[in-house]
Amino acid sequence: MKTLADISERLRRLVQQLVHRTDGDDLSPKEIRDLKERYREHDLAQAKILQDFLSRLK
Amino acid sequence: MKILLPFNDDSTLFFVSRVKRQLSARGHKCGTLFLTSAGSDELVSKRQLDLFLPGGTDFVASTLGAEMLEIFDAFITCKPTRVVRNFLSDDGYRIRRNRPCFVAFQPGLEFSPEKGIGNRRKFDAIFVNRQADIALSEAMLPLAPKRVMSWGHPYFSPPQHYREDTGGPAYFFAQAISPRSIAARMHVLEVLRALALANPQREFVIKLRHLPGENAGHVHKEDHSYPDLMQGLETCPDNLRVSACSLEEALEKAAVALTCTSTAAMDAISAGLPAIAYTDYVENYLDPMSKAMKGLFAGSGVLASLEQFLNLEARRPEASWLNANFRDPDVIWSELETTVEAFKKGAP
Repeated sequence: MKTLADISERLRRLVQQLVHRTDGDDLSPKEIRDLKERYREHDLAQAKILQDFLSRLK
Repeated sequence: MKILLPFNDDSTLFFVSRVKRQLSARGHKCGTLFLTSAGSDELVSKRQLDLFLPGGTDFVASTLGAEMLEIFDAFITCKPTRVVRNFLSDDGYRIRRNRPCFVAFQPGLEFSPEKGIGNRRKFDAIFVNRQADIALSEAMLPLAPKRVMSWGHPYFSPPQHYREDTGGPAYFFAQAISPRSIAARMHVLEVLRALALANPQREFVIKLRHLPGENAGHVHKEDHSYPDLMQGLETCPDNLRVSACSLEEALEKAAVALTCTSTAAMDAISAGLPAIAYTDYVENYLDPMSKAMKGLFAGSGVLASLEQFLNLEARRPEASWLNANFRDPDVIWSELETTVEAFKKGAP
């Protein structure tokens, strides 16, 4: 089971790739920041739901 | 009618197996054709051939020929391969009178219908999955050659009855390339592990389309198989396992059907099974099929949040969505029979 810290680190790397992928597009730095934040929040929210569910089993 | 059913990979083999059963029951004579190419053994395994066509394959060929086809009234496929497209692009052949009516369906859930419809433009009849897709397809296709356009898929028949979740096995229907990333697939696997831990009395089965190593040449090549990823789980409960059984067997044994983006969600609904589709997995933004699945299942009542998925909260599909996506196969085949009969009498 991945910890939230693991997921954060993986996301950091992923977002770096995404930012790289969007280089050259018309996205502004702010739009890129917002996108990164939205993706990060999405993944962390899913991971937290799963962790909370598992915690309730213990 | 004499009908030829070609296949060239595992998914077309599944289609042929099911369509042959349905059409044979209507009194038609169906021949199966294994359209081989270099590397065919990486597209269909002997295990799959034995499982899905236990009586064996009627014909094996690497190309199509006019003489070989002239004894058939219809040629039905769900995937127009390059061999078939090239064959049909010969206008000299298309004007022959003693040729079968070429009929194309879609292979299953169609996540990008605009891509596949162009490949079907030379067919005599095209069945798209949804009635709403007919207008879209007609707008994309040239007027000539003339063709019959209709809708419906032989897998997607309206449920005759609804089954309740009896607490029996829950089957997760996997898809080879979606979820796409290793992190996303690991997340889904961890969700299934959590379900197994929370429901120790219940079996959770990951239904694989193929065994690891099978179908290595398929266009949808699986890079991160669930059996491989299971090795990375902290612990794997005894009640979480994988199976490469047939879809029919899985649908019969399952008490509830789980998936992310598999076409099997439609099969499960047809079988009256409670079905739950979870598309909000980690890194779903890297997977175009997540968004496409959400679009196709919008208004179905089958899409679930992670909380609902973990609580196995299945809802019956909405009637309006069912009516737009599911069609009685008897109606489809009856329409097909009329089309083929008219074609044989010279209709375009």
